[in-house]
Amino acid sequence: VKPIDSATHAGLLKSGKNRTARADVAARSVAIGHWIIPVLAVGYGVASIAILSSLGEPLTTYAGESVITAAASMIAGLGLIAAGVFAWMERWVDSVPLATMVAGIAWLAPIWVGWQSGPALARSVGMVLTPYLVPALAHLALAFPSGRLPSRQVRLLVVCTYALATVISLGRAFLRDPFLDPNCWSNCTDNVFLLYASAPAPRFLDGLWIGYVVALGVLIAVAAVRRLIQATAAGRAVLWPVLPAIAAAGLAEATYALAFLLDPAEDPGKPVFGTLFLVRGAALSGLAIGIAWVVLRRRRQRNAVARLADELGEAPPLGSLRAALAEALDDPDLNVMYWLPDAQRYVDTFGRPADPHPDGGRAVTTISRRGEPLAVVVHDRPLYAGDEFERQIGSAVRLAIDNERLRAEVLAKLEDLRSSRARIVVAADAARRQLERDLHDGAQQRLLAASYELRLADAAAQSNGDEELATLLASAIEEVRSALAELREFAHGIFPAILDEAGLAAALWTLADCAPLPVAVTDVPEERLPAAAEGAAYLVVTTALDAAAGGPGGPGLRATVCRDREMLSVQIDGACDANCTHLADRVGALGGRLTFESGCLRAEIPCA
Amino acid sequence: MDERPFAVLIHDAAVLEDPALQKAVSTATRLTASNAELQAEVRAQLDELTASRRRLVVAADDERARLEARLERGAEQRLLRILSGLRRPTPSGSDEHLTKAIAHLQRTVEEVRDLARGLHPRELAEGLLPALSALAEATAVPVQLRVTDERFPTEVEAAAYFTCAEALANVMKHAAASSGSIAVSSRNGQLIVIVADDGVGGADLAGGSGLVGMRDRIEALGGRLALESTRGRGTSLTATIPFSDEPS
Repeated sequence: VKPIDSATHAGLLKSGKNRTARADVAARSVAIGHWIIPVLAVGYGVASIAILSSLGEPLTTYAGESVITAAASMIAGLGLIAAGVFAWMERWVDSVPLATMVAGIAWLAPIWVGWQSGPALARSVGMVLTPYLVPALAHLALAFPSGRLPSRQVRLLVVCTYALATVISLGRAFLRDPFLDPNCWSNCTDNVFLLYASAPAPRFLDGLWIGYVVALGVLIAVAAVRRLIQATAAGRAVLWPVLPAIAAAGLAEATYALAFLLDPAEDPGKPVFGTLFLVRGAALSGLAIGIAWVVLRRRRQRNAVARLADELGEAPPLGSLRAALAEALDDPDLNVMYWLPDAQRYVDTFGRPADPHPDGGRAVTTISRRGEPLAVVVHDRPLYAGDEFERQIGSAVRLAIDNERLRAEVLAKLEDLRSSRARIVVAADAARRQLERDLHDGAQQRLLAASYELRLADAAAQSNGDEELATLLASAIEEVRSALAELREFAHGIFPAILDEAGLAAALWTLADCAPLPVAVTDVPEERLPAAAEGAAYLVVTTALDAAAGGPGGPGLRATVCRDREMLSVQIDGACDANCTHLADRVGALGGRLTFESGCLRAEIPCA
Repeated sequence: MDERPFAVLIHDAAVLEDPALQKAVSTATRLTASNAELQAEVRAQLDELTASRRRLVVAADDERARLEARLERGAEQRLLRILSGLRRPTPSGSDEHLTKAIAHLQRTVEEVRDLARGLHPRELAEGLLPALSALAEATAVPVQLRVTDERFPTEVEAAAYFTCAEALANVMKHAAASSGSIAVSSRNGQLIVIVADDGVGGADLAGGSGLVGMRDRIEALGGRLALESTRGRGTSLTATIPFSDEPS
């Protein structure tokens, strides 16, 4: 099943809504433009081959020098045009394929210039096209692969490089008469654009061109290397096939321009120029191969995403979507976060809270359905331009994402519920502890003070011989004493202070000492554990003890407590079957488990 | 791949002739079915957790009421008995130590009463109206009451009472209010409690741990707690607690 492409979908909706004649014309001209550019570029390349292969014709250019230079010329030029056309057909953002094609066209232009028997117009146009190689390389160095330029300044810089190339190119076209040029070698006769034959202006433009190419060539190399160093791992995977070749091409162009300072008379026969031509051709060929490789790789990823839609249809294990997307897109750090409309927040696959704001170099793509966000995919930036990825995702993947989102939502609810339950238990425990402390610090201390004063009053009454008062006071002292004992017992029942002060082992031994039936306590870890775990373990023992004390007299209990790293297990042998729902709730609230099986009550309590 | 059938579609023979369409439908159905399966599975867990949370709240409420009763019947009654015995007029007049002892015992009784009240106000046994009236009287600013005299399940009344107590405590602590109000009414099987004040506002559910505890407790009973507090415009806390399964 081919998933319905959402972009097509959106397109249909749009055209259905406001279908106007103007929109139709615009759409048609876009469609024509989409075909016309690659057709023109390929036609230019084919014509270049035709010129070069018209054997016997004099061709005053590097390509005409030898088979090797001809190969270098053709592989680099046609390769760049082909890579540009390929990227264009793959619907890459416009600027990258266009700049690639421009570089290829400019590289092949000298063939047209040196076409001795060709029409004057063709040779003149070739002259105009040649200078655009370097700005196109600069553009690629800065904008590959997304087509986006990082800032306004950089955008301005790219515009200026093209503008300066245009000034040089048109300046030469309008003011340079090749016939008057002492260093002319390739085309010394034709310039159909000549308006005014100036002698100093072309010299100035030549100087400007050398400075321009040297500066820009070095800048290209620096920018390419810097981007390569600063890229993330996944970004580097996209950049490495292209940027080193661009850097090499930039340096080669700069060296080529510098060669003019040593020897203004260019000649393919001279070893310096001949070698430089081969180096430049090799760098540009590498660039063409690199760009084609990246486009191919992206095409493979796109197909992988399309296949993913089919595979997801085969009832995938839930939670596997992230891994599947990461594999399809070669980005192991890719993350999917799901939007919960009720809770108004993002969670990850497991329902844990997640932050969709990426750290440096990561991009966020929102996947929505009918305008509602479903999820965000956090991925490496250079992989996709704009919402390309959103468009690739078909309806089946969307359904799978929705599925995972629902799952994440339920898991998040489960998590909320768990933590709320844990908080309820912790709050209740804290309240008990507080009550015990309040009783100890308040009522019990006051009763001690009252008992002290009563004793003093009793002594005074006895020394005064007031027998009646002394009797009254004596019984009051006795009453206060038992009230104090009762209050202590009450407070201990609420929360055993010894558990807080001396730990689980001491508390259990005390409990065993005072128990109405024999209780053997073994293996209790001596170290202190989290208060919640200690409290729950203690509660397990007291609950079992209460149940046993209320039931038929048995042989007694054996409580074994042991800790295995992050799990505290309490086992009570000889326990009788009692209603342990509350205990199970308490243990469960801490993330533990309570089981009862043939006289053995067992609790496992996390104590990390 | 798991080949066992998970659902059967009954359709007109003509509708699904196109194999591509068939596959699309089966993909969508399978995804939807696996979703439904998942929902059923986790729903059971959610239900179990919800029930467990509710049991814990009810158990804690029961325990508080039990402790309150024990404090009242035990320590408090015993102390009052001792006090009444000591206050019998004695022939030798008042002894300094005896007076001090009586004062200590009296403070002890008050403290035990306060603790018991904090656990579970005994007026709550007669309903929300008397319990909240006592609470309002004990508050330093005037609190206007509009409380229904209906009775509700114990845990619902307790949650409503302690929400009011916590809210009023916060009013006294943070709001700098000159008056407050408590409104309790029931509608469609739900108890609605609104505590408002005219204080400084700017309260936050996430901030005060006391309110978080109240929210856990109310949500455990299937209810909701909402806070509206704009700086300078007072605070209004609304708790909605269901008390019967079928809305009347």
